[in-house]
Amino acid sequence: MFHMNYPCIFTALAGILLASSCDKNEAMSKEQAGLEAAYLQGNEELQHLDAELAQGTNTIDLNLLEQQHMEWVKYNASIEQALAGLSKKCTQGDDLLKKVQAKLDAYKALNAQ
Amino acid sequence: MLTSPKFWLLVLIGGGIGGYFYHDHTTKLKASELAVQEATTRLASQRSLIAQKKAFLQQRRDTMEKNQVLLKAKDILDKRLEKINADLAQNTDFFKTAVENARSAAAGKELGDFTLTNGKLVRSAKIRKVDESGISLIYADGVGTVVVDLLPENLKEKYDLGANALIPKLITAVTAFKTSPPEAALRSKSPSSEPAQPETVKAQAPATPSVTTTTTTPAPAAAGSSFDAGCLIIIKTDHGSGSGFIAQVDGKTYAYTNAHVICGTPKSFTSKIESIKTASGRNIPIPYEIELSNTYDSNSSNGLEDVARFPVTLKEGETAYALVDTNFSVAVNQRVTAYGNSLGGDAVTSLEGAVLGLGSDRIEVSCQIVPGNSGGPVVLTDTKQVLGISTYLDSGKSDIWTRGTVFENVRRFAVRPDKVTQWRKMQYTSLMSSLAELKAFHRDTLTLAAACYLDPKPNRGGFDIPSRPRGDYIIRQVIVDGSRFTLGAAISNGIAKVNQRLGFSKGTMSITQVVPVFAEFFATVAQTSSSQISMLSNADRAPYLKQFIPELLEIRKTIHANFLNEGATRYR
Repeated sequence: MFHMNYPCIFTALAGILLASSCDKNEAMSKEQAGLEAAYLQGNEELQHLDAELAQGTNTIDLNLLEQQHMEWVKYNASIEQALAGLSKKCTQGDDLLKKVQAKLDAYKALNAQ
Repeated sequence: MLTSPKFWLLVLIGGGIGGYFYHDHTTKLKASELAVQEATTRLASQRSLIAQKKAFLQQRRDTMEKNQVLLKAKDILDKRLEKINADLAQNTDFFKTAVENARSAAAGKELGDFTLTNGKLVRSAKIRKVDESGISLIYADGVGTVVVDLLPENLKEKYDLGANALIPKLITAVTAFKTSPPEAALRSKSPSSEPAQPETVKAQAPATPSVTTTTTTPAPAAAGSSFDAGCLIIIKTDHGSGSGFIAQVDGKTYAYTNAHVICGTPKSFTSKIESIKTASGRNIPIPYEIELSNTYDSNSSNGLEDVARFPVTLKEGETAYALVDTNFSVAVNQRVTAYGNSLGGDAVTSLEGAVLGLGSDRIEVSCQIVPGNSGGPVVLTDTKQVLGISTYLDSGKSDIWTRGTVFENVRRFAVRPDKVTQWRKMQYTSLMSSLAELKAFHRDTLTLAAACYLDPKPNRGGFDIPSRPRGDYIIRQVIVDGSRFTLGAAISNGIAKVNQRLGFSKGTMSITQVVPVFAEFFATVAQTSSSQISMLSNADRAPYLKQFIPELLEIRKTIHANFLNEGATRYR
């Protein structure tokens, strides 16, 4: 009985193999579709980022933008330097003002005598 | 059973069918795996680009925020300093008033007896008047004025007189304080790299012409050599090097050069100025603002539009050239000397010659100027008066009429900077952006030219597999020099949309289904290109930049028409 069903058994085995292979293929196709969808979504995100990057600069060239950014960084550094200088000058100014006020008070006191 | 041929025939057929299907599915599986792998890699690179751009954006936001904070802090300190200066001025005024009051109140005051610094005794003295020169007195022996030097210290102090008087010292100290720059001061008007202010960047308004009128002042003639290493400059950009000079005009000091030295030419527009140095080795900061000539004659090329200048600060003891008066009468054969960075040799050469020809805005000279001399001064020999800026060479012409004449040879021209009456101020960063825009426009033109031959069909299931012999090409993304740009992005996004709409369809699509998809692609790209054409046509630029726009537009319009033609006919 068993021997008589060999062809059936082979056919069934081939079918199972094929079916499992189809499943895997289908899963791959789904994964690929998912990846494509993610890629398209990423493209949209890139467009938004590019729009933000290009805001007011007419370019999305990262090299050019980085150059511009470096100019800002340098500019900030120069402001920081200027702040240090200004702060020092303000301190000197305060000292000078105190001295002037002291001299003025002394002069007024001298003439009040 | 096992010996039955029928049985083995059945096994063989079954095995064969199974094997065929197994092979077919394995092949498809491998193809799918490859496609997934490719998509994963693409996605990973896209994510990396997104992450890079996000990081950059964040960094830029942080820098901008920091900039705002720093500017606020600077504003506060500026105001504080302003108040200190005002308080100092007010206290000085108070002091002056107090001294004046003391002096005017002194009239009639009894001083009694006192001894002068020369030992002489003044008896029963009464003050008549006090002023800077001394004290006028009525005393026992008569009436007279005692000069400051003879007065005793207490009187000098009381009426603030003599070498130790406080008011002059105070005024000197306050003036010195007020005029001395703070240490490491912000290079207020010409920072080396101050970018555009945020509002300006965001607004991106077309640069408004800031027209200023300049009248040149007669230059003082300097005896001896005209060569001044502190005033002759070498300018280097990422596309070459040129020359320039420092000159004083209307009490302001500028570095003059050619616009093409700073901006480049359509073949290679400048992206940045790398360095500006005097021949004496001093570094000049990259200017915050640049002025391009707004004076030009549209019927005469290579003229005044090619002049540029930017403000510079002279250090103590440094001198500058001067431009000749605009009415200066130039004579043919007048001796002139051209200075410049000949052939970009990083050394300023001195080239003697004479004026060969005169024009309304230029002169032809015999000085052997060569590329690299552009922007350098042509001065009246042995003076520091600049007559021209070495600007261009003409290769001459050899034909029956010129044979044997000087016109077979190279001719050399300098434009007259004193003839520029209107200037257009631009921030350095805005100028570089304008140049980048022109460059990008041209790159976009080339991309559009390539796109005329593109067929954005996907190469995956559901649609015809592209065939090179049939003229089908696939484009997924347009990247030039590692960057996406406006039209490149429009094309690649259009392709992405086509892929999206065709990529997941099952089976072969009919041409009637396909045509609208491609038609949309062509329409989108064509529209983007049209709006670029319109934007550049209406762009307001300085004459030097404006002169290149017609040619750029003409090329684009030809290619644009070709692209429209392709789009209209390819899928009929």
